[in-house]
Amino acid sequence: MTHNDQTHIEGQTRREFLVKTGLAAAATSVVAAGLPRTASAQPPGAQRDVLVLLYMRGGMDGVSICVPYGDPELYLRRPTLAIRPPGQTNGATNLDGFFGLSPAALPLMAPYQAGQLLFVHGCGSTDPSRSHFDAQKFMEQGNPNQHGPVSTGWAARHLMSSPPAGSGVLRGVALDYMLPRSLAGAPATLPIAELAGFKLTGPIQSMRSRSRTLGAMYHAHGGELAAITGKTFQAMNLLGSIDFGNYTPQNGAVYPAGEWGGRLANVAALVRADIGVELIEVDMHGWDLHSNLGPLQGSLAFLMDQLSRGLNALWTDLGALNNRVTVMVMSEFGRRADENGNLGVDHGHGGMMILMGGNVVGGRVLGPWPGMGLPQLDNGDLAITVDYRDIVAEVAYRRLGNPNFLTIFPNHTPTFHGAVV
Amino acid sequence: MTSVEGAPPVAAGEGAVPRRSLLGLGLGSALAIAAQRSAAAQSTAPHVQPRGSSEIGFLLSRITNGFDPVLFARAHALGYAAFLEEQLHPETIIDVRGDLIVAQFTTITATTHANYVGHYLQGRAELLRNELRTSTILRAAYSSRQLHERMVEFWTDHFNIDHNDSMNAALKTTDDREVIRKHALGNFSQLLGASARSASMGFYLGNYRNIAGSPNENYGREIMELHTLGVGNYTEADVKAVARCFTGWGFKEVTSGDFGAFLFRPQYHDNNPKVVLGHSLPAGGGLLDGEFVVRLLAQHPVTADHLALKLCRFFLSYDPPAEVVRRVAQAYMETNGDIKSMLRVVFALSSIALVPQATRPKYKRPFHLLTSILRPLKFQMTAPEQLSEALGKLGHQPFRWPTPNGYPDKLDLWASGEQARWAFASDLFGNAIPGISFDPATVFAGVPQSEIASTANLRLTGGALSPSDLAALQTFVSAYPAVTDALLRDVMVLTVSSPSFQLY
Repeated sequence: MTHNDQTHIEGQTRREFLVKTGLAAAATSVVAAGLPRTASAQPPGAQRDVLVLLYMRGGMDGVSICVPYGDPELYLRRPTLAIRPPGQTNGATNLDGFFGLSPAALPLMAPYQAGQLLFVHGCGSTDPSRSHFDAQKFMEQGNPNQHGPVSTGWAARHLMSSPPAGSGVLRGVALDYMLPRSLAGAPATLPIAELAGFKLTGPIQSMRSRSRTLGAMYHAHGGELAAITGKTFQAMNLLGSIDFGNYTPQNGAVYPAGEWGGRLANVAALVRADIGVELIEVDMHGWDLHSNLGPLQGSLAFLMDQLSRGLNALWTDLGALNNRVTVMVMSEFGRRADENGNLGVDHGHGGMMILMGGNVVGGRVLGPWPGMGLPQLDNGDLAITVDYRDIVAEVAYRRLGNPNFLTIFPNHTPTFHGAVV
Repeated sequence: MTSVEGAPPVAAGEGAVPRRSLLGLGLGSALAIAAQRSAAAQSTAPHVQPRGSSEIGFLLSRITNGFDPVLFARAHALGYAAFLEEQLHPETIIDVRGDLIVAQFTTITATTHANYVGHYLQGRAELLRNELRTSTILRAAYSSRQLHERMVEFWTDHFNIDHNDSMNAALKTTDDREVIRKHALGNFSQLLGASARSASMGFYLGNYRNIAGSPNENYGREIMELHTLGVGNYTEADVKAVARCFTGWGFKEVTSGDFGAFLFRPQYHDNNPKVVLGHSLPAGGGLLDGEFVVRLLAQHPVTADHLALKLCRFFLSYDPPAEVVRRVAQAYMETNGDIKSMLRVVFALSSIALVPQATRPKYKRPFHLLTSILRPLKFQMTAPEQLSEALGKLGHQPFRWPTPNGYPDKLDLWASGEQARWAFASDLFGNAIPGISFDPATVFAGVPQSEIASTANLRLTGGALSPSDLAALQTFVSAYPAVTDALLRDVMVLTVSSPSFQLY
């Protein structure tokens, strides 16, 4: 933990420092709706963070990652699957006397202890749908409970409602084959599965004439395809000057092998390249574990390991650059409180977000724990105590310099929770 | 390889069918025969005319995976209605190339048990997946039963199963054959019932583990949300009840000698009474509970609406006219889910007349882009599985979509990937994909420089490129002092990279 200058302030963790100086508490008490208009129009922070969105598709079981071992209901509802309390075999590692970190998620401990990783429990989209596809759609469109036609995503509207941080050539990148719904309609945004190969390939001799011909064809065609071509050529020029193929992670960071780890390394490379990219999305699939959850050795353990080693590597790699990055991990919903008969958990409601970065007020678990007792559950699922839009809006305001909450989330007046400074 | 004058050889001859050293089948003579037959067929092909100017052109663009002159000629010879009717009856269509492809992939016709024991348990899951993916691409590209192949694509997405999911490497192959392909143009109720009993689906959505006292809701939800009613047309209580109806549905173990065959296990069935969508099921229903649900959902008018909308979006337009959707749903209800009857309404001239020209173009998904390049051309293939690897780089490898909703079919989701498509075209025509090679002489032998652009247009699309695309292509060609191999490859790359080639 030597690579983050801000991590320790006179021997204290950053979180301790913030708590002691009352900054965290002050941050918590700010309610966006109560801000005077002038303050709202001029958000703090000249330096805007790069926002990294990591979407866990399928419904991530937060309870198995940041384990509420202090809630006895956990062990009544999940007698077989719950991670045991600290001190027991395969038990969690204590975080704060109530929550503990799952054995497979231990790589999260380093950024947590450095005060740069925050868990937000009971967090999610208030839309009641337990369908993956609807839950993702309404969450990513930023319009839960309002099923009117929305064609753009919340992240797209954030980019639309804020000036480009750099040249504006390439503002958003989904490291994938297609854009997620949150980025639908986003300006200067493209899906790019592999940064290293993002250029016009083929014989070098005819590169220019082929490029001209394609340009002429798509220009004449017009419409959406022409617009995409324009973006694509500009992005190829921009990215083509950077050797992503030979990117070397810094500070001894080791990414998990495979597509997910490779894409996270691409995130770090893009941040380091400093070419004006403001928002990067990476998805991880496979969280829909209705049977054979495997929180210790099975499927879920594998996913938690990928997620936590990936986050650890990204954080380690970025080093001092963490001060310019906010990472947001989210999912469409959490899982059912009770385990089912197949050693799995069905679709739930309240979930968990993870925030990571140099400006995250981390080293703690945010959000009133909703509780797993019957009266506390929402139709058998964890209740939502923190609207995900609150967290996003706070990050947008404090870290991305965007005060236009009602553009990003048309039907929601956010409350800030002190997640970031 | 014979070079054919005039019309392009629809049978890609030996290029169409891979010579797979893996299986070592002596198919050389069969291939030669196939090539001769198709060469004979081509001699009757009339001069190719531009596509899209007529109803037949529109029909061809929607029910085939790419241009080819033989089907073009066949459609014009038979006329609109008779050609559609022929394609609706694939069993009446002689399909030499399709049969040859099937013959080269032994696992796609083998039983689940044989594949599971003989390959999956021997550590050869990837061989199973490879054969299914590759044969799917080749059949879609080269089969003469093109509408059937289009419907296979449609139902494969509708009843999506990710075959990277452990033993689904073996199970999905059977599902593809016995559920999707068998019922693709049959009756939806039977298709749904076959899917419900499919070990592949049961494994993918956890229904095989759905047992009394501890139901697994996954399949119960998706059969309503994705396969039949659509979201919003049932309650969470219905999800729980439907899951209970399907308790005990599973498949035979490997010790039975018939691994994967449907098996109802009464001891795991929840025999208490249930209420599904307002219908009361008495106690003790056993297997009949799930069968009742299949019938109830298949006969539901909301299912008809859901399927009609999806079919119209797949075949007609991203935004099909409500009146056409209504008529297709009506056909479904009147025929108890006869898929042919729905398609007859989808493609009725009176339906097409209601689809405005401006709303017709659809953006080819990468699979369709690939098949529409393969279908009119000759490629030499010694490693056809590389085609599915290439599709992987475009995000559209068959049977790889992880979630049960299937690959999306929306312009805005796919069109952002232009660079990857252009790179794919460069790789394909630059012979940079190992085991797949293209010889420009198969298209351009004897063609003067002034006709190169129009020849590429004719061979790849039947003349459907937009005037601006063709003009840009001509400008490109005329800037070169002489015709070279590199120029001809570039022309192919640019043609299939053009905006009009991305649309159909």
